[in-house]
Amino acid sequence: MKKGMLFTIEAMLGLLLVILLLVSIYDNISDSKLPKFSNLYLFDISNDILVLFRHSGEIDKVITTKNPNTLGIFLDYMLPYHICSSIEISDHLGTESYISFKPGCVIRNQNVVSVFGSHIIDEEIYYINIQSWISFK
Amino acid sequence: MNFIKTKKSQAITLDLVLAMIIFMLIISVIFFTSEIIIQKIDENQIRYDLELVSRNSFEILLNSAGNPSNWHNNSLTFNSTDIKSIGLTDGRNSLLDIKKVDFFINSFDLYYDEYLKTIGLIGFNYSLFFNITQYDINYNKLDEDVIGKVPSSKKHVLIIERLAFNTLHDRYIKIKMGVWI
Repeated sequence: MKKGMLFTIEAMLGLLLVILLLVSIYDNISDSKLPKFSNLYLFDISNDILVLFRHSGEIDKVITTKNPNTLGIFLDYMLPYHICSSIEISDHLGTESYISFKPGCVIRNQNVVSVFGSHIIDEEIYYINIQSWISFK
Repeated sequence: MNFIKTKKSQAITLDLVLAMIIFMLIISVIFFTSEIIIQKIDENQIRYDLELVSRNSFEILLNSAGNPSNWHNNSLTFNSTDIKSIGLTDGRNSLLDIKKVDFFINSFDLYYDEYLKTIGLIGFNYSLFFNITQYDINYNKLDEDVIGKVPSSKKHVLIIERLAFNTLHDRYIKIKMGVWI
């Protein structure tokens, strides 16, 4: 007497499809909103930094002393621990340029948000580029 | 005929039992997974609501002077239509009016429910707290205030930190806002 096989290929294929479907649904819904919000938050905090630098006189100080290190100190003190930022100041010709990072934040991941602004000192226009990203250190 | 009378057939065969076990197992897995998925969707929805509400409320606080702009005047009351929105700035984005900040800190716990409504945290059972720290131009901490309801246990909490400045006194102001359900 020959017994039939319980697991047919069709049944196994069906089971596999159900599992795949469940895994893909779970994967899709988990953390789907996070990148969007983190980008908005990075944009907000970068704008805050830009406003603060402009009005606190930090940018003027960097251009006058030609030393951008104070910006790194500011970022270290004021930013939340998990947020990394860099600031670059350059004149309109690009001949004079200063860049400073929050200490320990040189390596960037791919999700970087940039905010641009300008600042006028002694009738000379300077461009400011603030980049922020989330640190996973 | 004799054979049928003596030998009884088995109603539940081994194959059938095995098939039932496997079937129940699959149903259980599907049920369990769908429960997790539903739970995850609920959590995402809560987080999404918190993110949306927190960001909007924070934007109004840090990017507006309020309506009316002298809302911090003691003669105005929350329970009437006097105060339509709360803003901490002097009219410029992220540049705070220190008098408004001080009034906000001193009156927040007293008018907690009114602030919650005016900030826009209505509809759900939201709770709110702020941590406001002020620094001088050399990053020395001048003052730190915690106002509102801080969650006592681990709940759905979203904390957003923003930076602002006061041009009159040259103060950096770090504001943490925590919204939780």
